[in-house]
Amino acid sequence: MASGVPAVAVPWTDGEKIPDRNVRDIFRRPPDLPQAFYRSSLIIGSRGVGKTTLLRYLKSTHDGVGVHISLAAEFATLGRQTVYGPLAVDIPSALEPLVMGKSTSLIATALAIRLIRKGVRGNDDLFQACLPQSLSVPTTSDEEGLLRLQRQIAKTDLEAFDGVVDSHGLPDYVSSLGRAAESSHGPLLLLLDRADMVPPVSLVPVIDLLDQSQQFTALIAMRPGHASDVIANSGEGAVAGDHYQIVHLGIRPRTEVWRDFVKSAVGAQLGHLSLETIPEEVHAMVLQLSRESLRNALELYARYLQGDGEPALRLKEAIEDMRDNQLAAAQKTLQRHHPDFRRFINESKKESLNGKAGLDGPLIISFSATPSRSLFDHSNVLDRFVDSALRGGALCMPEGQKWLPGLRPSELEVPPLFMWQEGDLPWHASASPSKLHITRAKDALSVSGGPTKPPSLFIAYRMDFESSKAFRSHLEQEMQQNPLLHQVVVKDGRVLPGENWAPVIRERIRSARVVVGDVTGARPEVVFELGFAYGLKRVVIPVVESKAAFQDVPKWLRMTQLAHYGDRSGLAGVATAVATYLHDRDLARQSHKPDAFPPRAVWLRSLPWSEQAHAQFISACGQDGMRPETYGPEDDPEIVIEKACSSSLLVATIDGTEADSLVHYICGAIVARPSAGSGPRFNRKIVLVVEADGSEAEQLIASSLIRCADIVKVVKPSGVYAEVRAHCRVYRDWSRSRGSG
Amino acid sequence: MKKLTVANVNEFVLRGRKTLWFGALSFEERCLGALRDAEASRTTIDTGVLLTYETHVTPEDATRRLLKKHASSFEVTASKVFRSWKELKIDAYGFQRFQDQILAEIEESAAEVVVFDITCLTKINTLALAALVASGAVDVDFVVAYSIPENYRNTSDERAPIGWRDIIIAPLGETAQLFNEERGRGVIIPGHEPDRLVVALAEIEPSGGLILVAETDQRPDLRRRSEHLNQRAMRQLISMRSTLFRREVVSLAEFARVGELVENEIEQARQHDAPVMLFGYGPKPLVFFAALRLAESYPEGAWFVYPIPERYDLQYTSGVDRSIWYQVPTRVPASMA
Repeated sequence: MASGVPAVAVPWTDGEKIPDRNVRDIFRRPPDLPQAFYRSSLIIGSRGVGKTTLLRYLKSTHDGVGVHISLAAEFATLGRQTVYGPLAVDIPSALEPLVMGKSTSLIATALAIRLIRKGVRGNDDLFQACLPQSLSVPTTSDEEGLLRLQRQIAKTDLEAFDGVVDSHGLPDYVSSLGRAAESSHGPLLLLLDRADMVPPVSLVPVIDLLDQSQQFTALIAMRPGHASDVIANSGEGAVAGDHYQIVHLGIRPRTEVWRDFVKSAVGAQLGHLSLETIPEEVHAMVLQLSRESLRNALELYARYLQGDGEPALRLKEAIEDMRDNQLAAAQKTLQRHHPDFRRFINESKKESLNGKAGLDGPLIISFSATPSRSLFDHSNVLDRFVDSALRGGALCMPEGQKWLPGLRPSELEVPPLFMWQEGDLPWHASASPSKLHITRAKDALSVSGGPTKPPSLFIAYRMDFESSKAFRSHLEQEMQQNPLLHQVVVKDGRVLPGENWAPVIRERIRSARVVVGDVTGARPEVVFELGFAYGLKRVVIPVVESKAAFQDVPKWLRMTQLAHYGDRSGLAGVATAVATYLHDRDLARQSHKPDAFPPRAVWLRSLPWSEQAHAQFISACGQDGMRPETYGPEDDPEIVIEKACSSSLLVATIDGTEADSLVHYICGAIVARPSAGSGPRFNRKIVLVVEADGSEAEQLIASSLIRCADIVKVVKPSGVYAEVRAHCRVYRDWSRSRGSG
Repeated sequence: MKKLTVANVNEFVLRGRKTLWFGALSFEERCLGALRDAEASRTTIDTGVLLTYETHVTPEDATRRLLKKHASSFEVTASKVFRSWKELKIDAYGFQRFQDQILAEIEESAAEVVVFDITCLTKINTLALAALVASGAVDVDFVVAYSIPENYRNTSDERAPIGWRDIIIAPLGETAQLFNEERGRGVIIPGHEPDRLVVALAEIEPSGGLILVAETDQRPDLRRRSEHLNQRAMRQLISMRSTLFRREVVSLAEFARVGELVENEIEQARQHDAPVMLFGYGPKPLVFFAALRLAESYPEGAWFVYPIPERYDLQYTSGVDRSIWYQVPTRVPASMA
């Protein structure tokens, strides 16, 4: 921080966190706020706009009895009992009246406790009407009795609250509290906070309190979008705008008066002198990205002013953290309404940029056609998506527009924070919004737009066999004629003269979603490539030349459904399998493909000539905490593949028999993911044990595998111990290392 | 709380006393880890209760196959470990209902020792269990078992992202209050699902508290990965409040230390009648220890924040690394040799 700049206090970004003694000093009156609340009101505002601070300020300045209640706290036992929270949209209808009944009892008792502390007691008969028959209003007027009642309500099963909400007794009881308060202390002001953090249906009795005909004033604070239909359809007829007013905070966040308000409110916490040191373009960017959120503005200003390094870099990091975290939260809570909200935002941005370097104003998503409400349209889904997005701050009402319960907005703004990218300049004050029109509801709810890369298929075939070469070209032709597959890019292992073929082929397999391999004769190169694909968690489809060739395939390969390409129907079957896997992602994820497990060391096939080396392997592993396991032809191939492919050390014998094919497959899978664990690299190792010498030995091993010299060692039995010990030592050091600290 | 080997459990805890075992069936292979451990050590238990619950796991067909396979393996192993066993259907996201069911089973069995394999309980069931144990409603010795997987799903491979369908903010005890939130504390245990923490913090954010980073013996990568995944959420949370948060690395066996650290948070909160919020998304033993201490020492102010997943991914974990066992001290301390 530059010298001479005053130290910055840690801000209270949430209204709940501000100490009572500081509330009056910190509070700044938001523009458009009524001078006084003469009517009950629903106070709407996105997270961080200052709802709680406002309620706390109103309580501290109220001339009468002010009660500030967090509905999230008072209704929390509902969550514990029902495990339904604020995002619950699927509460069974039979449960709804029970939840409403219990919330009636909970709020009535919470108010009774708060007011008895001030010497105010309401009408007990009216209070009793808010309770189930099994519970009684305490006869004594002490707080302890009410606290006992509160505990009883919390414990009582929901079923006991059947019928409680039907009496609609809560407004009458609270009116009796209001009359009692008025006669002794002055008017009763109920400040009901965090209504957006309770199950929507539990708000039904609370909304009844907004009816202006009662003997008190109630202010309920919540985010837009929450409980929209529940409030709009609330039974007792408290109608927004008629029986109570709606106050939506921060609906003009780009006006000079709002910006001055934010600066003043931030200055009240961080110190006005600190803000004066900030360049104007930083103010402009912070205020633009924070929009109506005081919380975000406080966070960004505070991180700009305090910390190590350059202020501009700190601000950039703060914006990135905030954007990514808020976008992640939005994406994950909207997941059930929208398959990929992040992509929707990115595509909307791309479309509205239309070649420009950056947006020069807000982005508005406009639903220009009102969807019809037939059984098969997407309107209900869209409504839920919009309500959830508004509640979570994933979208917001456009400048100047107020949200009302039951409103179906035709336009929504994308939060500027989500649009931000490094290098963006602040918008000009008179910037006009870009509008993106979406004409069909379902377009907003699907991932669309933008060219997607066509999927690719890799064919591993036996290059020196005419039948296999023909298969490769016939399959491509078959796919070109298939409407589901004609866009699929077909790749294979052919490379140009002079190319380093191993990395080129691996990259092609890496980019493919499906790999088809001709395993006729289980040629090492093909099997290795299939193993490589398996290690990358790609779909692997093994095929053989003809049905007759099935029996010549090793047992471990026959576990998988094999296709053949010997005739037209067989080839069509391969194409159908490719199409199915490409279009059904769940099917492609059916089989379990394990990641590397660092302590696991696997010896594959102990042969008579390798027995001593095998014993040394067991002994060496034990010294450093690795876990040696041995598998052979007698074991279930599925388990062998799972365990060996997840080992960090694989020692396998190669002897030129059919069994070598499994070794090649497993080696392919390990080479595909050459390190184990995460963080500092812990390289996996393959030790291939051969009895033969030099070139004779190398002929038994696929060229692709031998080329992986950084991970593969080919040794005689006498060389095993040294290789294993070396790996175990690396493992020991790695396993004893600590995290980033 | 004492860390045990399964042999210790046999020798010092069960000691031929009437024992009831709970464990949940799951698509995760590790649901069988502790039971196999018990089988390998020739442990005999009077009654086993296999908890089954419904969750949405994808891909569904493969999940069904795995569940069937694990159920068959369970039956084989159970026949060697339990004198008798039964199945109990529970609600995967129940809290109070789950407690009622468990309590009823314990009372009916007249068990003196209860072994609870928490490996494949949902986190909310785990919290409910901790609150039940803390409440002292049952006078038995508790042993908790937990199986560490070989690996957690690599989220960078994620092709089917998982969302959160609801968020529960509720007291661990029956009637905790959110009074004096301005001085509230948080106990954050990050795990391998960073979105869970991000979503929770988007609802309610502690202004200070304890960050418990789990360290698994011989698996530094699990901690590194968790730290990496949660980096951005953590940075935003503490960048301005580094003096208000305490970060501690604890191993899965350090329950005494977890207890002390949580107790410290409780004391700070208690001085101001403030709540302590548990954001427990890391390994279940740590979540269980922290919840147990909170519910036991501070029932009037202990809360949890729990985002409920829309579904699980079949490849959430793989394999079984090892099982660990703990004896939970109850209100009537068990004697240990």
